[in-house]
Amino acid sequence: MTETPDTSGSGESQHAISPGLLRPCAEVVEELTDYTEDALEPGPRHRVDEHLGDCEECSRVLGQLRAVADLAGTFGRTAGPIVDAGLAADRRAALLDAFDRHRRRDS
Amino acid sequence: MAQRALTVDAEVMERQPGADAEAWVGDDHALVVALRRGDAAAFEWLLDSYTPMLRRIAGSLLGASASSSVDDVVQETWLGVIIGLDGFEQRAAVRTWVVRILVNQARRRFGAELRTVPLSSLLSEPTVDPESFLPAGDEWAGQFAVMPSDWGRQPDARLEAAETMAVVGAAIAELPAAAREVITLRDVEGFDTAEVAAIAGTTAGNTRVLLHRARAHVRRRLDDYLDSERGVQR
Repeated sequence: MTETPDTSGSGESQHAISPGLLRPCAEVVEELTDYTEDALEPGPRHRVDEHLGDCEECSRVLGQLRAVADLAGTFGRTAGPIVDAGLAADRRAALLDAFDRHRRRDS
Repeated sequence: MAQRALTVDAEVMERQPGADAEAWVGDDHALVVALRRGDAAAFEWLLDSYTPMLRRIAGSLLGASASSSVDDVVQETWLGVIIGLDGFEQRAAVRTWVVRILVNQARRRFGAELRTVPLSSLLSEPTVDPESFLPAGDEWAGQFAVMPSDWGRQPDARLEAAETMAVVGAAIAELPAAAREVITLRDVEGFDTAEVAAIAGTTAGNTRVLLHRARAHVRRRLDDYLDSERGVQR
């Protein structure tokens, strides 16, 4: 750990451990996606909030996971097959034709 | 000849004067009614408004090298839509239904030649390097022992942007299909977890597990890359 639990001036007993830090980081990191997806019940959500308030390391991991979501989005929208392109004209025409023929098949 | 003229007149009568294609936006029911009626304008609207997104999703699911397969998969998806239209019960949104057809087409095409991490490996991959935590037996077992890197402090951010994207892309490409589907649909296309689950044919809970594993994997790849970059700068 990089922090000592008995910070002075926190208003808590000098012998008390910050409640957030009672949960190991190794557990908290596994809940971070449920946390950002708003899928935690109020109790567990509050415990993650508390831990993040006391733990810069986990807060940093949370930021990194959010950054990954953003970067994945940017990558997917800019680096894939030609963005905003439609199908080639012949494929498109074949589909319009297939639509017409299928709708008329019983008539 | 006379019969053909009658058909043309019927089409003209069916199409409302001044009909705005955008009337179908947000109105799945009207769209499906029009499609079932054989309204070619409705199908063209659907085709043209969805195809860029479908190509993008297919590109992600199939891998960068499979560009010719992308349009085959998209075309097969639209054929599936045409054929499945009568049986579509509209319990899901049109978008969910169409993208689901695409994902299933992509799954069928997914080739063994693409080297990915097996799903079982991904599911047991630690989110964070276990050596970052204090070991069992320590008074603070499970707490971070090492501060995770600060990704913000990167020199020459502009130069690294393209390389960063390449690392992100490679990390996504090596994900097993199920995880890659989820991160694509959630983080690239922005569908919420419930819709992603409906598209992928699984539960929201499973979807979140896959999303977590997918993001964690990309995070570790990026962290390793940025660490090695920092080493070079020193």
